[in-house]
Amino acid sequence: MMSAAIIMKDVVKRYGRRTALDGLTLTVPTGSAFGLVGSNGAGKTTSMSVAVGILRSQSGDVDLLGDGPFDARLHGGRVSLMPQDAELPLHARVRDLMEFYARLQRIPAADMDERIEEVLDWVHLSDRATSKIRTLSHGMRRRLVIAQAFLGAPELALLDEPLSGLDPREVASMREVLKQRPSGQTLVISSHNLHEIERICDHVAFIEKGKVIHQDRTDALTGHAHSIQYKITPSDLPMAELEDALPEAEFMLGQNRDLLSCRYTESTHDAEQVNTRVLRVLLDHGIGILEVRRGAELESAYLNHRDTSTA
Amino acid sequence: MKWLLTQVWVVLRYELADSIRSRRVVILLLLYLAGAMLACNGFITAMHSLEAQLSETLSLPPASSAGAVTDALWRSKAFRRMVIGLVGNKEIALEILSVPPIAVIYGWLALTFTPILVTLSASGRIAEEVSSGSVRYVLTRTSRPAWCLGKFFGQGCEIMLALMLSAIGTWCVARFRMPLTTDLEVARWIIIYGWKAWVYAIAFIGLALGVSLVVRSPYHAMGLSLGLLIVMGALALISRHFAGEGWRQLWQITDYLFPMKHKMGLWRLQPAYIVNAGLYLVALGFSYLFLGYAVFVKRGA
Repeated sequence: MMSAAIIMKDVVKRYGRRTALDGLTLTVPTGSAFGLVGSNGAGKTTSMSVAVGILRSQSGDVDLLGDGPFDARLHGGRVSLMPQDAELPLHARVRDLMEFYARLQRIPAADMDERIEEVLDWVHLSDRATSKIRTLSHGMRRRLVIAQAFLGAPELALLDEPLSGLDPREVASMREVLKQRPSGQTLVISSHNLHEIERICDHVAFIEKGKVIHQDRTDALTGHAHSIQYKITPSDLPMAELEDALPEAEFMLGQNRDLLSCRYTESTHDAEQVNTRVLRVLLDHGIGILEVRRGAELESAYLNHRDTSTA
Repeated sequence: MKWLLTQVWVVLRYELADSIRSRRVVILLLLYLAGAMLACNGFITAMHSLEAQLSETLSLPPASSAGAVTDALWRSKAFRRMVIGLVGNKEIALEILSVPPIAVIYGWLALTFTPILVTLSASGRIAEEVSSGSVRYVLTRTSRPAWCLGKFFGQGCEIMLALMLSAIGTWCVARFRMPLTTDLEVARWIIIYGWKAWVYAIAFIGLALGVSLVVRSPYHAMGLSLGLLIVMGALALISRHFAGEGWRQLWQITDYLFPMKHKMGLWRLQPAYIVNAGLYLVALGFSYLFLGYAVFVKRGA
């Protein structure tokens, strides 16, 4: 049985009369990169804050790393948070602040410099270690916030909108940092950027109105492992030929006749086989192929689930 | 317990270093030093002018340095009888008269102005971190009690430094202006009053940080702390005025809840009074802090 880094069960959090989490139930597998997706005010940030004990819920249970709810003595240094809007102390110097955090995390003095250097190097801020935080650009501050979340290689890192405010080069660099995390480390990422979530996360939960409306592996949600989509020039397709080429697959043509979906089962075909046969039929009939992608975009999956849940 | 103490120590050290980096502690120290030196100088100038007037009235040659006449007066039987009459309590009056006048002045200044300066310097310390959100980086690494206690003791250290510096400044001014009467005994008394003012300050540090835990804006925290200081001062006066027999004893109990009640104990020289007042003040400081902490825990960061 897969162990869980976070288990939240029936968690309710209210701000006055407003209910932010309405019986939220969530399980984050250990070692996964877990995406939290939802509209503004859905409860993503609140659920992270409740998980790490920054906010107290009115009811429900939280278990972190199998050691019960957040307790600084047990979880300090093993769990980290990258809050969305929180500022770092502006008059502090980068290294001084990281040393303070490292001491609180009880990183041994002998390892401290190395650990700090390591995370600053990841985010390309080694040369700014002695700078005051107020002298850093917005992007640099965001990278420093990411760096503090990985200081001491915590077992669980919760990152709230980690890539917002970064330029495209920094986003690409951060994406690689997140992908190359130590094995066994669990990441929970909340983001509005579904494209990034899809690229980084192997598990995703959709949150709406303080509840998880769906949770699954990313490839299961997008159909990455059992569906291929072909964007084509609008045409009348030779459906009979396609079905002959892949008798156990299911084909669907979009309303505008420019999107062909092929769903197959992994037990009978693999993606390469499917692609070879479908493309041969399409090319034989002179149909223009504009794009081929495995599975649907996470955005479509999210919108479908959201519409279903609100219907 | 060891874990908690280690974490408190880490927070305390960072709090002090952070105050120095942000120049907050430097401003605080300069404020205390300048305030004490100016007040001491002003007092000596006023005393010297009075002494000159007195010498002129009595057709005596003017004293070469300030304080010579005052020192003689302070020791004279007639003056002591007058002070006993004014204070209304021979024991307290004699205790005060056994202390060098410049130390009494320093003690009065320190005990009067430290609460205001503590409020100005400490009330925003927690609220500003809550309002900027930087507290969130800390509270995933340490516990709320460790963080609050670290802040509390950090502020305590800052105020202690400020008071000791102001004590040294006062002695230096007195030594320069009144070389004949300012000796190491005066320095000892000034430092004793500096310590007493620090014990008094503990209650106000607890109050300022307690308020800072309740509100999110540092400006609101400062305003509320100053407001509470005024309200508490007024209530302490009212309590003393209305305290009496029967149900009016309630006013007496109310009076004990405010630090002002225990200031008189710090003026005393007998250890029993000082310890009693000190324990009350420390207990009040922690109580105010705990009340704020209870709200902070419930509200979240």
